[in-house]
Amino acid sequence: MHSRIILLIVLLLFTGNLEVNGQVNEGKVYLSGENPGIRLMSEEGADPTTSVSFWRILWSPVGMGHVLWIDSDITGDGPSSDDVRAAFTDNWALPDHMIREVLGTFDKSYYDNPYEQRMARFEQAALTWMPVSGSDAQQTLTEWKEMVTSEDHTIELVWKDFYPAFQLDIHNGSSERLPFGITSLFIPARSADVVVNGETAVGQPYPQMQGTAESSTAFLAFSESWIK
Amino acid sequence: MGYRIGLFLISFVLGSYLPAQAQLKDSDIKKGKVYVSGENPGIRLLSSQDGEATTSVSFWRIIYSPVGIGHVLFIDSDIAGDGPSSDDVRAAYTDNDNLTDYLIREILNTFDESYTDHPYEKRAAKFESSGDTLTEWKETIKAEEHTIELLWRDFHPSFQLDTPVGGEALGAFGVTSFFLPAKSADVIINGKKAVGSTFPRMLGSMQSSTAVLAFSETWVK
Repeated sequence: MHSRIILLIVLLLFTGNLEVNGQVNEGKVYLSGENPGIRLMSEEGADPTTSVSFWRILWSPVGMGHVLWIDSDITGDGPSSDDVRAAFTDNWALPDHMIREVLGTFDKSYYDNPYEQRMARFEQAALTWMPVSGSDAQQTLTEWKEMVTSEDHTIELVWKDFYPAFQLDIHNGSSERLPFGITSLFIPARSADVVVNGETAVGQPYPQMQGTAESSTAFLAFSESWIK
Repeated sequence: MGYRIGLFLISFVLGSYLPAQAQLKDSDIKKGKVYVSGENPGIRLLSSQDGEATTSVSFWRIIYSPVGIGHVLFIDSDIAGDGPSSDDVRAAYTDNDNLTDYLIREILNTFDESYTDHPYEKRAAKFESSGDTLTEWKETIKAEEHTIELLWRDFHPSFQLDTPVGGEALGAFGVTSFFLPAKSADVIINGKKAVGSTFPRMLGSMQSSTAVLAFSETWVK
């Protein structure tokens, strides 16, 4: 049999073809997975009427799972009974770990105005790729949908019409405000919807430049790891 | 309702209500085009610490590429460790032929010409993952003639790999990857466990292994 074998990084690392000095990030990994978000606003620069932070965690010290933090004035009418502010999860230990060890270390609002935790089921409801005109092989991502279902709520998160992807690589210790290193694949979306129990939340995402990259207040963030 | 929403990157990196210095800097973005992103665990089973691999596995679960999503399993296994024989398996199992071609042409062959010198036969397959990343992770690949199970367990502490774009290794690709090395792993083909073991390896100061889960991995150039 042929032992000249392929592999990926792993083999290159094993065979010494890849220098690892300075290429293994110093620090402990706190979590790894996906972290898309949506902020809907009534106009550019306004406070968001709906904010969503979705996490699909592939690894953490307290296991795998999902968390959706959502804060939505669905109809944009100010405080009212249809507003939703909650943390939906399928792993009770995960939001606690994330707040205590990660998010709450630099954002005290998680403690000052805590989210009510609710058990939910999570499903990647749809992802649509379309062929690129003139190519037999190429495809482009056109829509991504996550579905979160709890006793009282069914929430759909939809991202559409994407900008080119770019790779975020914030080095550990490079920011005073964010005491973590973060790597993440960003796919900004020109359009996004948050649908709560069948009602589409008001507002829309707005474009935001990030350095030289076109971004948006709605984005997919995949292959994301947090290190400190 | 509370508008001070604790969000993570949205508020602290992308948000508009925080001070401008919290916005992304140019240096926070890895320059280059994203080629693929997803998962890329691997296993090498050896008969001894310094022996050649009798089984090597490179598994890809791609959630973003210019040719769509999908899976590829490159496997090269002398299952019984008896040298060339009829039960050996060398193939690329996939549910997206274009993805396999793209991975080889645009990425792997740029630093490892064995992919074109000694090509893998492509076979259609279905892919399923199970288990958890604290105790045991399993990938199951079902093709017409083969059912292949890949298992990783008993993990070392995780760490993060981050190579720069333009480096000499990896065809000048910059790669970020979450590594979870496994002390133990199995490759099972049609119910038969491949011979060999995983062995520990050091990567810089980090304890690694010849069997690794590699998640949250992105290739940029």
